[in-house]
Amino acid sequence: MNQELTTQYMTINMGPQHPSTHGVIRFILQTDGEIIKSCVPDIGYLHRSIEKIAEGVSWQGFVPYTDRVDYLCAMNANWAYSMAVEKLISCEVPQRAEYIRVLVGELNRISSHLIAIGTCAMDLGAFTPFIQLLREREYINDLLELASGARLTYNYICIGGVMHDLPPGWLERCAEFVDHFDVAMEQMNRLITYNRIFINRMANLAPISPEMALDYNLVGPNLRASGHHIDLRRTTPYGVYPQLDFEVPVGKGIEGTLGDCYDRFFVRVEEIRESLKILRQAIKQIPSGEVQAKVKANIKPPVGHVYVRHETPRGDTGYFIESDGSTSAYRLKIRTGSFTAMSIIETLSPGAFIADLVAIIGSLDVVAPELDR
Amino acid sequence: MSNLLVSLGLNETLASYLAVMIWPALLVNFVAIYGGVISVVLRKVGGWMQSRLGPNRVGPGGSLQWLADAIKLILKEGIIPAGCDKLMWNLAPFLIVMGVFATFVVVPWGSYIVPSDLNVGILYVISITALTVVGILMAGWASNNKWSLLGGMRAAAQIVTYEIPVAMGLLPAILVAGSLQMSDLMKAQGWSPFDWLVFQNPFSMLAFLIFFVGSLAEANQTPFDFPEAESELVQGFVTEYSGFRFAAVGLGEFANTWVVGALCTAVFLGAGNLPAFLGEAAFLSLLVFVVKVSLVVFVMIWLRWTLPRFRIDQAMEFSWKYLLPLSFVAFFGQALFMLATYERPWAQQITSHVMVLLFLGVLFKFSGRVMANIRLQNTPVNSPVKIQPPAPAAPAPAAAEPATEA
Amino acid sequence: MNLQEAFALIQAKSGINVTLVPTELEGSIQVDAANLHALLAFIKSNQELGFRVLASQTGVHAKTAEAESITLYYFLVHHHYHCHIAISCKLGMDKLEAPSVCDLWPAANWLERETFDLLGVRFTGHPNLQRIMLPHDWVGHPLRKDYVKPEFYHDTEFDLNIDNRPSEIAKSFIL
Repeated sequence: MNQELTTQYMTINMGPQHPSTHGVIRFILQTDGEIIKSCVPDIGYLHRSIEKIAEGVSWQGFVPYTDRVDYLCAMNANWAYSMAVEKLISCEVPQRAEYIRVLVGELNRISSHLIAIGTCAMDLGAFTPFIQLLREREYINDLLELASGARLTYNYICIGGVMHDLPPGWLERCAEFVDHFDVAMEQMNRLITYNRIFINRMANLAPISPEMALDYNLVGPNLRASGHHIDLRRTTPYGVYPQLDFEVPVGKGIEGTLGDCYDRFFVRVEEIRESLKILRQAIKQIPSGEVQAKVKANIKPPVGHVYVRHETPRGDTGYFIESDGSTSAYRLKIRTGSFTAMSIIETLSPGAFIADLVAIIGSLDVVAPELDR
Repeated sequence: MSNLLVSLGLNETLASYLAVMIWPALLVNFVAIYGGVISVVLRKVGGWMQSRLGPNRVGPGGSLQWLADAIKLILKEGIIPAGCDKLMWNLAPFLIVMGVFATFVVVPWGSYIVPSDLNVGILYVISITALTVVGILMAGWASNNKWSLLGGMRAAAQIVTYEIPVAMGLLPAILVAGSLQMSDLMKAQGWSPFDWLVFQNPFSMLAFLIFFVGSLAEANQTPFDFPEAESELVQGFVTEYSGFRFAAVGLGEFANTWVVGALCTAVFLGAGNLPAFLGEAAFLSLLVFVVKVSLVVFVMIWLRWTLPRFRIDQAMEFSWKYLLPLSFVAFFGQALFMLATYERPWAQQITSHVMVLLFLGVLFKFSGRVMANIRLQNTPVNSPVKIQPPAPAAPAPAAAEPATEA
Repeated sequence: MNLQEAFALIQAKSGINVTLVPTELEGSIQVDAANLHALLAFIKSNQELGFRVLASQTGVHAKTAEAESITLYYFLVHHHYHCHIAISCKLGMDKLEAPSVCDLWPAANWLERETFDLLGVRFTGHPNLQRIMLPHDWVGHPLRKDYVKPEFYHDTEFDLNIDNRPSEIAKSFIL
């Protein structure tokens, strides 16, 4: 009378609407109780065919669309596209514009990482760090609103430089914010980063080996957390980054294995500190001058293609632009860091709990608009 | 209560019947109002801890938000999910709420103000809270929703697991008092902190901590709130409830915080005891009790907004591998302590004074850290910046023209 | 290592027939669809080249009056991330198939699915070639130059003739 007790796997739909997936993404989970057996992501809910739109609008007209590709780091997205078109038309950007780009780009990097850290903590149940970090992010929003006029989708960095100069008093205000935020970040660290419950949730979870990270083409903080010392601001320096002194934080497996969720989280925390260093130096070194190169109203670049890579907070965003000499792109492809980070979830999740899946998604910093474009 | 009525002039049997009817009315009203008020307090305190205001529209400073919430929830449509097990689904909120309401019967509100002074008071509380498990399981299963099912299973496992440290954590107190009756437990303590059970010796402090943490898990509070973990399970086992049923379950959960606080205070923090010269002042005793319970509830709210959540298997591991052995240590330690100091009351005085001093030292260090944080946070930001007006340009040539013309 | 050096090395070391497509901007190394997998495997395993990472994979549908083709581009990045090369493969419209490189790079899984979804190129040997961005029952491949937007999807009508001009009332608000 020995009968095997047969059980079935439960198919759960972590649907497009869910409080913890970052945007509209859908997972089809097959679980054995709480342990995931397979997890198939289903994306495309936020597909807005931005690449097709690029074939219909002018080169300058596409800049607001790049804001919406990843609205959490819109300045960096603007910058990546502008860099690509500037390489296409071989345009020199004035020094002051480059410094302003660095200033707003690093501020946006800090605010994007704050959201990444905050939502990761909130998904794990700690509500206070998220809201406190949003309060700090409001100061950054104020600064960027003074510079560009908008709080989220800036449309500020354009082809040839920036749209207009920084208002007077902006640099002093930015310096004050940097001093204040140094202290606030230390408090946030005590609240969440060194919290034993949080470390126990995140350490030793879904470690990504360095080989796997390269094979899956992870970029940005995810790649650095697996031990690679790769940052596009250092390996392919653009703008004025060669003149700025900062370190690249690399994951070391401090609380668990190398490349686990806590490493990815901690690399982002460290990157905020490095961004503050960059901001201080840029505020000191910024020269005066004009802020936009003379670019024709209707650009007609030469025939050919470029592939330009830029370090956004989510990693290496590559813009492949093929032009046929006309006033709009012939083909534009945006390769974002979240795309490959999402594909690795399918490999990482078997064996983890459902609660762990939430931690994995949070630590990989997947943002749906960047995923689907 | 019946004594009070008799002193007002009613005859005895009528007084006892009326007492049986008045107490439930008072308690149910208290629980309903308290559940609402504590939801506002939760959100306000959470807001202040997060550099924002909580609800501040309804009533002065948002204090009547609970009325608005209650009215809204009562008027909402109660959507019955298709394919649910109707009887169980409807019955589940009742059981959850009953399991909580029933524990209010033995809570000692002050000296001799106990609705029903059962001689198995503590045991009754621990056993009747198990009704909530049945209710949660029913809610999870009958909702015809896989997320609710997960939440229900987690809750059942968690509550059953943490019953044991809770019961074991109470044992040292029962050792001291010698009975399970609530008023006896109250009489075993005095009014001053040196006479509270929590400061009596390190083992009873350990027992208090184990009991407190275990009760957090019983009441589904963070860091143990995975049955309703919003970010993972949408809303856990209450996903499919809307309208008044949702309000009832939420009410039960908030009322549970009062029960946890009341038990902590009654058993460990010297509930409602007054100094000798104040005698038997019932109202003052009630006030002291309410203040102490509010402090414990505040600590629970504080923990809720600060700490992240455990994972279910980590919580199970925590209970079985750490809390349970520690509770045995506390129990045996308390027994040994009582054996050692039975003839020597001065030893008890010394240990309790030392414990109180240690506690005050920890409190002092903590407040020092808080003051340092506050001072650090006052680094200026967003201060108005003085902008130098541009130097006046050379006078415009056009201004010279009229002078030369004229 | 730039494109010319990589091209010289590939021509010398591997036996694969490749051509260099230079333009005044970045060029690419062109190869046939038949040799594509062998070339990419060679590049990935060659330590001297060092282009170990597949950064992006996309396609361009070129349609002129005379000819029509889809060119696939593979962007390989050096494992120190400081330089990249482009491999291109031109496919005629009659045979839109290419070998899949999922066995070399797991990253290619979703990238090739996206190219299939939006351009219609089939990748032989792909474990799960399905649409990724668009719904599974979508008809057509949007990134082609001759793509016509459908008017209906299931029972939702796409209103293609939306008049975006401001109404009379809105015009009266303009000062």
